[in-house]
Amino acid sequence: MLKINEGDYSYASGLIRAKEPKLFTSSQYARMLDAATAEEAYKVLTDSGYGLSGNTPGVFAFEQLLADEMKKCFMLLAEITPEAEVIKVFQRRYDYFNIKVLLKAELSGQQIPPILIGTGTIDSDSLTRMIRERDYSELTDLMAEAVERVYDVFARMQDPQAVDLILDIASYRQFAADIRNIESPFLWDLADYIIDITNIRMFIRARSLDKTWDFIGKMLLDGGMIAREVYQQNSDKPTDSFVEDIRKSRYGDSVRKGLEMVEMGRNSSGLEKALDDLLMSYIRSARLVTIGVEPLIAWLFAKETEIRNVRMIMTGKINNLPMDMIRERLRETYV
Amino acid sequence: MNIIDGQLIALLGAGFGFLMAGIGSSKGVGLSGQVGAGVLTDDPSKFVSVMIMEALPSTQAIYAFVIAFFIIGNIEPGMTVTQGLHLFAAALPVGVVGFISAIYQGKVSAAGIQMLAKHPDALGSAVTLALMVEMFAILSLIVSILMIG
Repeated sequence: MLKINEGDYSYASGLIRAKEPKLFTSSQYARMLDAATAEEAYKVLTDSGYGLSGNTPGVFAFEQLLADEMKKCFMLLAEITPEAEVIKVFQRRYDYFNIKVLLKAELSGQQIPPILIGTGTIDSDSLTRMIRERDYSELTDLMAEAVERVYDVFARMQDPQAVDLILDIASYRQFAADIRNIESPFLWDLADYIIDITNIRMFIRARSLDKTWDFIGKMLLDGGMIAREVYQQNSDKPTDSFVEDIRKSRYGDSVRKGLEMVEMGRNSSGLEKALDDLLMSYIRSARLVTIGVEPLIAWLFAKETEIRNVRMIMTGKINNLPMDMIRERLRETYV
Repeated sequence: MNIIDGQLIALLGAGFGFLMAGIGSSKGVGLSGQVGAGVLTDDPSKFVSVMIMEALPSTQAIYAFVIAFFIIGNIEPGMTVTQGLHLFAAALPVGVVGFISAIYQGKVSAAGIQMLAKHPDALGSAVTLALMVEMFAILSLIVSILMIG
């Protein structure tokens, strides 16, 4: 168990607090949404110091700018966090994404697409070599196990979706296991939120496709506040029954509101937004903590949410989508 | 000859009081200083505000220094053990309260520095909040002075 000595986080907490006012607020989003062209919206990003210094790809390569910004965040956090493991816990999901891309390319006999992310714990060149040479020495046990399983299942079923499924579940299992190894009730509760939210989304989506317990049981992540039995009992009933069963939990209101938005036709991703906003309201509790891991992790989540919002706006601008639709989908901000 | 006499006990009191308040102030100033360094890394223009906030938890050590000075000034050759204990007791309020209040004031100052990182105009509020803790250190100083007589 990694012990957290709060006093070691004094400097880092101060630095992150000074960074918080630079997070996007509704006014920056409004400027981007009201911009006449995608170029103008993109300029809001470059003016705010997005990306790595001296490198501003064009508006149509905005994804590169966002990737650079995320990389910059992780570089800063890795530099100022006394225990690197605290940040690595949140970086490993990018390793899993890269592994997924590499394995899919290998199994389908195609070139590796240029979408590997540079924010994982293992740089993409090393990871490419490791997968190519079947050298799993630098992978975590869970990663190596998942890769082996992918080869095994693909050899038998030839189903590319199995690659996604195995690695997505392994990524969450890794996250939950890593986070429980850090002595921080804030992070433990965060893990519970993330597991529950992932399970709820999966369950409701699966039920809308009439999937039964055979499928749902395999997809459910262990842990979280909502017991496995609640999902099992509702796996052959309408979604309303599940919503009623979790009504009194901390997810009840958000699930109800999210589904209402979907039903009213206002926002097809209303449930995702409502649950993301609920997670952000938990993250906001870190604002009351002066010194510790909380301000750092909260800033990381705030930055990830900001980048997700910016991606939605830029995609909408480039494709000339109605801005009111994008506005409704934007996630709540941290500040 | 008796090793423990009134003079030694009084001196121990002066030393104890200053030691406790000095440790507390070091912790408080150290904590707010680290947070301040973090804020200044991102925005060096806030140096003056950060310095004011960082200095606040140092007053407890100054109060204990004053009391140590008074105690040493009151030490006389041939003091009885009772007289020595009297001066030792006078060092307790400023030492113990100083130790605890300096640490807590350091925490309030650190939070105040973070507040200033977001709201540069809030120096007055940040100082006032930290001074609320200062009040207990001042009261302990007054009690110690009254006890010395």
